[in-house]
Amino acid sequence: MEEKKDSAGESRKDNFLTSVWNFFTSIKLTVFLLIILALVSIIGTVVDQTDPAKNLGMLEGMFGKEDAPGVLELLVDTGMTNMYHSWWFVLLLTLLSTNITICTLDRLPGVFKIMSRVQGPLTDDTLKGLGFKKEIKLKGGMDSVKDKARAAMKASGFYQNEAEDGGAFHLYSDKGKYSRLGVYITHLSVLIIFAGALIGSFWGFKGYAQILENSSVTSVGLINKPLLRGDLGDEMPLGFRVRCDKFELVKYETFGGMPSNYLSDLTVIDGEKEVMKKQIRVNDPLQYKGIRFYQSSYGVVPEMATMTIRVTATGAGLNVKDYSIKSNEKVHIEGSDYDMVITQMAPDVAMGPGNQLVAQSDQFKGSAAAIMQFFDSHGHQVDQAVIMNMDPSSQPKNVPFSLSIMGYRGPFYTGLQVTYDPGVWVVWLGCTLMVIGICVAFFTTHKRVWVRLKEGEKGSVVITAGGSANKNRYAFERDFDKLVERLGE
Amino acid sequence: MSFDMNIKFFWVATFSYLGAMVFYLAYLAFRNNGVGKAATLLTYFGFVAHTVALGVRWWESYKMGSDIGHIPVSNLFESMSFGAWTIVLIYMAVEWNYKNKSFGAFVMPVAFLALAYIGVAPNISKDIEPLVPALKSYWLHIHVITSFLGYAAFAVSFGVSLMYMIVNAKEKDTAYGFWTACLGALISIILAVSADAVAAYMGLVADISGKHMLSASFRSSSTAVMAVSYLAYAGVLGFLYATGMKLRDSLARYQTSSDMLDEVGYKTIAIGFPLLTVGIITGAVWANAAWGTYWGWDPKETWSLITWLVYAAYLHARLTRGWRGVRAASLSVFGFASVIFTYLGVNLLLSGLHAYGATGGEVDKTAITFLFAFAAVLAAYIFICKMTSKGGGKPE
Repeated sequence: MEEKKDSAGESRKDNFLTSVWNFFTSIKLTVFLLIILALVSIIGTVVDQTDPAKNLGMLEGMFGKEDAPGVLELLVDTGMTNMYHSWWFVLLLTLLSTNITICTLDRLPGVFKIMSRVQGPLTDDTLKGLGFKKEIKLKGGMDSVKDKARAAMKASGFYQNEAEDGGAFHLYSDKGKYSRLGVYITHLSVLIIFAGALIGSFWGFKGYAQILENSSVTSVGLINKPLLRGDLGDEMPLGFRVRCDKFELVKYETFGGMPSNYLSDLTVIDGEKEVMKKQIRVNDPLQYKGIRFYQSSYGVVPEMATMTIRVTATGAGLNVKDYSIKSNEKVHIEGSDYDMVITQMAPDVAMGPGNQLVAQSDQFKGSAAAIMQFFDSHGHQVDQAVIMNMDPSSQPKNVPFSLSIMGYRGPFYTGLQVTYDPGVWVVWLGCTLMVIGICVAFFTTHKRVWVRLKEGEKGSVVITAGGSANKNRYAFERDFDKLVERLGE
Repeated sequence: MSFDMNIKFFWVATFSYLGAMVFYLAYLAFRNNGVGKAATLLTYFGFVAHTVALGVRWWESYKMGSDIGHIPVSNLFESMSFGAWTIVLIYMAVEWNYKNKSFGAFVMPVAFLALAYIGVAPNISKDIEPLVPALKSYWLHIHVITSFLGYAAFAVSFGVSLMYMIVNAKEKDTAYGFWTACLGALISIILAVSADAVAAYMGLVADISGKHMLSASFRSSSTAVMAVSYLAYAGVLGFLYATGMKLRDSLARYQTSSDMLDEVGYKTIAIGFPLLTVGIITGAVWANAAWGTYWGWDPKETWSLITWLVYAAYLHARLTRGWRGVRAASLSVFGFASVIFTYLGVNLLLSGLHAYGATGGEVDKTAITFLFAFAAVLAAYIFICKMTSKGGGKPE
């Protein structure tokens, strides 16, 4: 595989197309492109690619507060903050694809020619060009040496053809021709993977949907639009309905309630009919009409959540009752003249800086808190208090109740990543071919072996062995030496 | 019921590797065959204990609860322990196949240190932890195993390539400067991590994991300690540059053929490359099952691709441009630097989606310095090679 072909001679050199062709057949270009791609990819791992503004902190550290916005603008303008889709990165990938394609077109005919060559018995001309050769003399009759040689070839796994010509006896074999194709299968696989990625970006989309328990959606918000669908807005209609029947957060029994799995029961409704039901979880999506729904997040809708408040009358009787209340919903406290309202509820808070309460999670914990207002029978507000389970002394003063928070429940919504990628099977095909191609390229060898027996002087036989291998020469050398050793026994 | 039987075997393995390391170094110095045999035996013994430690840990995780059981590769402790195990495995195969014990002095310190480091680091938990939902997948097994075997093959290629450059040193030229610098950096990192481990063991530093790595030396809060560390680093580099030829002579006594070293350096990459390819592809299949995106350009994915590209460049340069010897060996060194960054640097210094050690938040300055240095040296190196290249050698 020399880098330049000059079969057509000097006259074509001035031809522009030929020089372009020669440029793209160069392995120097390949190595250069691979290294350049590696180097520029590093940038993308340092500069945040998800949101340009996230880089501001790092840039301030490097260039100072004043210059950082300017540097960021420069990064955005040169595509550094979305570099894997920038014109110059795509150009590098295009150059690499062209390089691969032209190299393959340039060399494949030659490889087919070598592969279609039928191996003949050993000639002196062939022998000259072989990398491995050995001559030994053995005593004994031709027939017994023939049998021995045949056995030696069989033992070494090279026994294939026999021939007799001009008083010489030949054994030869030509194995693993297909090894030469490994490189081209690998190169083709890279192009197929690129093609799959292109199909995905032209026709595929990526979106996101939040579905409340017992409700459904018919479209999803778009994160990546199909490149060929400029007409689409921010929403992608699905063409069917997806309902979330239930969301469940499963926790480990030990380990402080660390989440073990997130489960969503989904139902697909197509044309008023329930066509599919599946409980999805992380790593196990639902697929319908090529569109896949992945468990991605979850949460509680605060406006719809209810908090359970235990009200204890501090006057006579110590009357205790639990109320489940939504935010901003006025509830009458039984056996009294008062109404209560929760204006803000938080199931899990912590004391932040400056004695501010900071919401931690939407899981009910001992640290729940609520801001409550109390009204008399005329609708006048008579008190406001922060009820905190962490601090039972924080209670209203103008009404005869003490309150505590007993629970918090809300309908869950499940957050689903929604994707449609018609190119993904093409990518998997490419990946499979790549593994096959690389294994063929590294672990198989095109081996050719010849053995020639000729009558020598005084009833001896001259054995000439020759061989060639297109790669893994050390391994072949061992095989060849072993064969020669067997021939000489 | 406690589940720490695996930790007992873990320490047996750690101390066996320490013993093996001492014996391999002694073998290098005195060339006594008995010492060499003892080194190999200790390595085998340590490896068996290590295998038992991993197996017991796997079994213990199932004893904790059927929903907790999982292959022990899910956090930093498990992952580094498994990584050291694969390196020792590949090393034993190479020692057995090539009947040569002289690489052991390069490999066993790395295995011992990895175990000692995770063993004593106060902020690296040795407990069995349940899997987060994203890691619950069959792909975890195949993805991690293929990737780690690939890394280990590259590690051996790195060690052998370094040895090739040492054995073939003729004069104090660019190549000599390159390998003394590489070996100096390797020895300094080993010393610095050892200092971390010792300081943590003695309670002198509170944390040596993640962003606090090397906090007992180069990144110490004390300027004096930092200055001494850099001076010591300069000292190691100077010492190696001055005495490198002596090291060559002592290695040359083993009469390791440089053709063989060149071949092993290539063969291990030829094995590592398909494994890395399968590791990346299974990662993509898994990402597609978990998020619906087979390739998201997250830093871990991108760095595995960078590593793949560097080794692909190596293979093209070697197989079609006939790069051999020092040029191929030094490209293998760059490949391994990128492996280390893919495995540890991304998690410790850049943010990402992968399991262990993710620190989140801002990019570390050390990371940026390292990346600039890596990129600059690799670019300069390719440029120099292009300038001095006299056209391709013979293709195989």
